Amino acid sequence: MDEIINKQTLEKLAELARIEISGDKEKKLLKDLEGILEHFDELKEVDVSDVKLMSGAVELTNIFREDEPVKSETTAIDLIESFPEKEGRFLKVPPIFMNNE
Amino acid sequence: MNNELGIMDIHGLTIKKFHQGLVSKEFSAFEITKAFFDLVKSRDKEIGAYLRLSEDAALERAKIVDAELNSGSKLSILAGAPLAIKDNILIKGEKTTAASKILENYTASYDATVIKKLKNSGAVFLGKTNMDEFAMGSSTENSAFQKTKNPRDLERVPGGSSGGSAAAVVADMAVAALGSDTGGSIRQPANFCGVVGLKPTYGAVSRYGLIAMASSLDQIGPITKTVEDAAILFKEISGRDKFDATSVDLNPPASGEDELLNPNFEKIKKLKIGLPKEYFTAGLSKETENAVSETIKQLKNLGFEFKEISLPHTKYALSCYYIIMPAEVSANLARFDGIRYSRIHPHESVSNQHKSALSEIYLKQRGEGFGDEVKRRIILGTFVLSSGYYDAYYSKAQKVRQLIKQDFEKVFQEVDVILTPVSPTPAFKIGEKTRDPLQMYLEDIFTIPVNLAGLPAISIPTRTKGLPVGFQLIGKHFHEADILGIGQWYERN
Repeated sequence: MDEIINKQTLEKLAELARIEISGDKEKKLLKDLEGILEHFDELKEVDVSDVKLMSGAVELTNIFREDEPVKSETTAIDLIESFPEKEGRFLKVPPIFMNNE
Repeated sequence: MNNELGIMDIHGLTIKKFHQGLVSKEFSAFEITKAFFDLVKSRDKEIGAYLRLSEDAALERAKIVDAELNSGSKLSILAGAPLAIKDNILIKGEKTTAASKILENYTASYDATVIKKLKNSGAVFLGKTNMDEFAMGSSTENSAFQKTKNPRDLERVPGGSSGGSAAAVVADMAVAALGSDTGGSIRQPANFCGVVGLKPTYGAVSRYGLIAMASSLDQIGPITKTVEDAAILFKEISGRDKFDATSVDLNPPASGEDELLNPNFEKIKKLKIGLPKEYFTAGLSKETENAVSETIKQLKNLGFEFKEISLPHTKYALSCYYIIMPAEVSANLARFDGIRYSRIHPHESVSNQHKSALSEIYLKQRGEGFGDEVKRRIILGTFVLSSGYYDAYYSKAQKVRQLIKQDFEKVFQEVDVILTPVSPTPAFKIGEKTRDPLQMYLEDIFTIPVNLAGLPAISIPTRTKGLPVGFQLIGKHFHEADILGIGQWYERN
């Protein structure tokens, strides 16, 4: 049986998705994904040659509004408050550059 | 008015009965809210429906309702009603985690539109309910914090992902609840717990303030003890919201009558009901088949006309859904970077100067913060959207989705409503389906097509004895009144 997804692809995908996957979980994840992707094979039998791409389930119409500023009920303080770490009004984030001495 | 309210008083209490009791001063909103907390504190130890309670805020709100009533103001039907809210819906100033470790310490900075509407009606929020992490699952076993048990049989799951909300309602730990439904997450737990669950038409209810899972499929909806309550709660939360561009106002009926709350049953009885043969095949358990057939018989006796129909692309719905939904999940959950919202080891990540490259932080925070099912779906979504696979998977699935929607459009020229089972089996045992994700996904084969087509659907308990079994009514876009109308007629007869 052809494999659709291999260890290398999985590692690349995990890196792209910014998710660390521990070594012991990789094998199970690969097996699960393989099973799910095999299930998708049934879609091959559907003829979609005349079908247009669908973007949503319900017909939407354009809604226009005046281009005017509105006062938000959520204040800057609310947003700062919901941030995990802060000092005064400043948001505290981890240093993002590697410290190579 | 100082008589102690007990379990007897809140047993089976619906929104309707609660409102009658409140305005006739059988009890005060404060007393009843207290009685609910007393019950939750003892009963929820073995069920685990709630992640958090908000007793102070709830009692405060109840007092305001009592003061309004005593001053002679006319109260909304939801005033004082003690509700349970799924933990992916934002209530300002309260923790909202979507049952994920990555949001363990997040406090919402604004109210979801549905919450704002309910606050305006004077509703009381008892607490936030457990769910599968980010609404991904069909058993509430994927919560990062606790498992919820089915109050009807503690060895079984309550269904999911809105399992906490359904369990709270059936165990009388709330008068009603809100859930969210992306592929069956309101209807399937309602089915497993023996309560009513409504998934509104896509766009009928604002999604603003709902933590997004798959934005083209998600809808917020009510979980209640009666169909009548579902209509009451749905009416209150629906409508156009400027913060959700996909939301629309429901068309008011030409007659000017309130079709949702006071259905015209003479009109309702003339609705023709379709039975899709693809939903009554192998894989359906005997209990489910019998209970649903019995319901069809009862509805026939009530005068409804049935017609066999076909939805030929039904069998492809699961594959279609498990391509589109993870694709949207992978994009929506990119915002959880472990820097905003909540951090798992805040001090460690800042002080560890030697390993502080940005991608390192993301990998670690997301690797630790997300559970296995969430990771699986993000990886799957990243895969089906990646160059080289996009056409074979994502684009193909979007076309199949169109065919599934067209199937419904065609049959809705012959019938007004469709009746199907909700899930293949009644509630399964805890741990029974956790090993193989595909087994868990198959739970939703009868509920998924509705989300793909954006239709409204409701799960209503049948009258079967033993484990609860529900039936599903699917309506045309924005025809919630049809399915709620049939449901209310069934409920009364």
